Amino acid sequence: MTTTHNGLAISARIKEGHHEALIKTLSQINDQGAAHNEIYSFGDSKTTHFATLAILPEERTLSGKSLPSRFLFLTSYTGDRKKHVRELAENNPEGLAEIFKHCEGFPSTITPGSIYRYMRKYTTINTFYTGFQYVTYEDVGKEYELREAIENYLDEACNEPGFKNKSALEIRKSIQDVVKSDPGLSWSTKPYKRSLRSYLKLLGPLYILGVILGVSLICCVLVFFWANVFTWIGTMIFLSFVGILVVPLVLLRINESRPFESVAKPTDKRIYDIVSREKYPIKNEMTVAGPLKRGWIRPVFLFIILRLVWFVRAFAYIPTVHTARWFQVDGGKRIVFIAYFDNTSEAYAHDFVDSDKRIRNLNLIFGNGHGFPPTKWAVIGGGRDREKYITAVRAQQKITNVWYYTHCHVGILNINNNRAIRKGLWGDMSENEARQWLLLF
Amino acid sequence: MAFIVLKYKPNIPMQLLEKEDIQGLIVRGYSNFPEASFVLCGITNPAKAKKYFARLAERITPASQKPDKRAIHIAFSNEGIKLLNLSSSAYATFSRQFKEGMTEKNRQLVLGDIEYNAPEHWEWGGTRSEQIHFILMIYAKDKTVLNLVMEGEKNNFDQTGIKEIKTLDSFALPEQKEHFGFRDGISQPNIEELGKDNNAPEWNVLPSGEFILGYKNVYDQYPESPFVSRNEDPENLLPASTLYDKKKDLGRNGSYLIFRQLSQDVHAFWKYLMENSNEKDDPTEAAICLGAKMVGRWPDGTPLIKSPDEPNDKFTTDNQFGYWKEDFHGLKCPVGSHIRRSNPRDWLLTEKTHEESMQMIRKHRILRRGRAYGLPMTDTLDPEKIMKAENDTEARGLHFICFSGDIIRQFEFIQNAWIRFPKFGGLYDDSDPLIGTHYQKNGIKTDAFTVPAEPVRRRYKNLPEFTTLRGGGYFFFPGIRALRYLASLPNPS
Repeated sequence: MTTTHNGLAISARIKEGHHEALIKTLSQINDQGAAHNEIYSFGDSKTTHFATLAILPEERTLSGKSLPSRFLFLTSYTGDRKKHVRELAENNPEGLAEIFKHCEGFPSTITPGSIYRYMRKYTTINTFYTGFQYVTYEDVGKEYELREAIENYLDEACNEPGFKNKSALEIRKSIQDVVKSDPGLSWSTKPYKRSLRSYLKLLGPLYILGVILGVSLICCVLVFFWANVFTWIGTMIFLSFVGILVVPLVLLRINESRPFESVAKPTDKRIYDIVSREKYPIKNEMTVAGPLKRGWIRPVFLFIILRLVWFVRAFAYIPTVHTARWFQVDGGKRIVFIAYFDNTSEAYAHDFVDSDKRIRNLNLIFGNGHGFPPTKWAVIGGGRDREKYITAVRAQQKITNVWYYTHCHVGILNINNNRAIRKGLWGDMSENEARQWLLLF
Repeated sequence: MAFIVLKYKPNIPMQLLEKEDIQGLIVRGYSNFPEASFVLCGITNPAKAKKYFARLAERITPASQKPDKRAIHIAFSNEGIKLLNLSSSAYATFSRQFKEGMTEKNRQLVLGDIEYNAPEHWEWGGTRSEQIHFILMIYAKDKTVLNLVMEGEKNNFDQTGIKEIKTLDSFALPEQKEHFGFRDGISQPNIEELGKDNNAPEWNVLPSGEFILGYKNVYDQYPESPFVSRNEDPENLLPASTLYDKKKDLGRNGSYLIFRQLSQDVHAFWKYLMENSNEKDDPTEAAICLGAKMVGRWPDGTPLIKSPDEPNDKFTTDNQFGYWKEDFHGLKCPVGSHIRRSNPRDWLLTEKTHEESMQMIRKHRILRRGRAYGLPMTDTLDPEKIMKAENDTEARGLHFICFSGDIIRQFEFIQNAWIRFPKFGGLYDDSDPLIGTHYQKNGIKTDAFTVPAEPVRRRYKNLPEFTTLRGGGYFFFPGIRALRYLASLPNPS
């Protein structure tokens, strides 16, 4: 079984005249709770970590083109995509039909199979980031329980005479004994091992790309000494790759010299409507979506950047984020960003603009969105204008109709710490390694 | 020790402060004035009250003066500003947080003002309390001067349409301590333009715009500041806005003042420490050790980072330290300790380096001007004596007062992300051990305190409430010209 964490993004136009009805359906789910409600209960899923159901309103691009009202059905899940979609469809096909019937292209026959095919058909590519890789929904809960059991043991053991004089390895051994003696924790007595398949699923494409680029670069050098069909093909591949990066970048630079078109500052009431929905003490969600800046190069450049980010996503780091994703809809003219993060959106928004390094990364993607502060060469400037950045985030932020989360009391640092505890529980360790491991508690 | 390098300081040209227009409390905490009173007032007749404010403007202590007898300051609540007949378009330019107020329902969650700290339980400023319109802040060199000034001001109240709702007294405790017996107020950011502390580490020096409206802040931008249109200032009392054409800056040389009255249960604090600390043979010593872990400093002010095992006279006011390199895991100063939460300096577990941590943290600082209230449990505030003292009924605590140019980015961020949040620094169930709201509800716990140690940490559970919020509010602390302007506003016909 693979445990790679991915994002499912389904995007479909809302049928003419169905907008209000869909809002009503989503409101009912929201009011009753996304985990368990009379329409569709995400709590029945064993593969889903988070879900968002949101309506993008009809908008216009800066050049006046209409962007239709659109429904987004998004999940973050671990494992195989087909299995995940099948699970969602089979859990309650009628419930999904209640939602998707308001969207274009929805089939007249409702079966798990037809729902599954519909969802697959309207799935769109998204660049997905996760703060916890290879951790399943079940793992999050079980590893939390494992840590709690050990913590409770340590609370007692600390008061035992002589406990503090034990070596780190001796204490680790006593923890292992406690875990072994608890039938409820028997699952954790096997050393943790990530499957090779999961690893390759995440990093395989990057390795393949790296090999192709490496070989083509060698060909590019060799062609001067040993020109043949093979080296010429390699050279062409390498030059094409450089061209794909450089030409759009130059065109983007030309586009960047256009006058900045600001976005209307949201009213206090609008901001209040957004932030007052952030009522969860540990984690919250945000949906930001809007048209791109003027010029055909913007969607093209963003498309390329999002693909490149997809390749290197395993090495990305966004503090406090559980998962985040970016994708384009409406022929690339509209950017969508969805994130689940610890604490509030105000604190989260600052994670981007308060760090010089992250401002550069932020600019590459968000710099293409309407209202985001102007950039130079895609990475310079932009989010350094904190006022314009915050204004743009709030102006383009949408009120999410429904969002679902699991394990309400576990923060992102907790998830990763719990995994580190589990990974270090078994196997050989030196005294120093055991000391470091005990600092995880 | 060369601890921080200059690169964290943005290259912002030095700005000249208009000290004669800035109320002095922003630039000095009046440590020479041990006595202070904060008079919480309501306005019963705005027209008459404005005449009082116009006269008061002449008595306000500007930052350009260093008074030796007394200082007077004033700050307005959102409801108070509204009563002065400021146009709705001008009122709308105040920050959203100020207009919504500290007790707004969602803000209660953001600040952690829930459960026993919920505004419905407050003695003033809460959802069930009488509205406060302004606060008069009087500092004096002794009780006699304070009484004299207070009498002079209060005598005016009846004739000027002002009603005293409550007066909060305050005085400096010995050795700059707070009621739990720990030295307080050591770490404060330095305003770059005042340039008086050459020993301040660079990370602790911030441009004035972080705390005073109308000047550039740490982003090299002018902070949002309330403004009026030109025709609303016919007497040309206000300076031109630096942000908007054809507007006059109502906020310039002013700030936002955050006031929170925190009562301290000194007896409960030390009782908990004595009952739950057993790290040392001597229970008194053990209690002080655990208390120091919660605070992050020894009672005399020595930071645990500098001297983790015992106080050291050399370091009682030391502020030159960080956490990233010195104590990444919190073995000296716990990650969840009060000083590490309220100013993490160079350590955020969510960041990859101490440079990135510092970049983040510099954007979230406040200028504190808090004062203690109530008689101390013992004269000397020696923890050993406090532990032995009988419990009493004296109301005591801290009037937490701070300034910030951007309430949400500075005060609310600190309170929300660092003080309140139980997951701060990778913790699980801990909020600030001293000023956090401790509770367990719906699977969320915030009443633990973890002391990292080797071979294993110690976890203290079921922390009671050591401090309780008794009142609070957001206030606009105007520049002196802005005060004159507010006093000159026409009355509704």
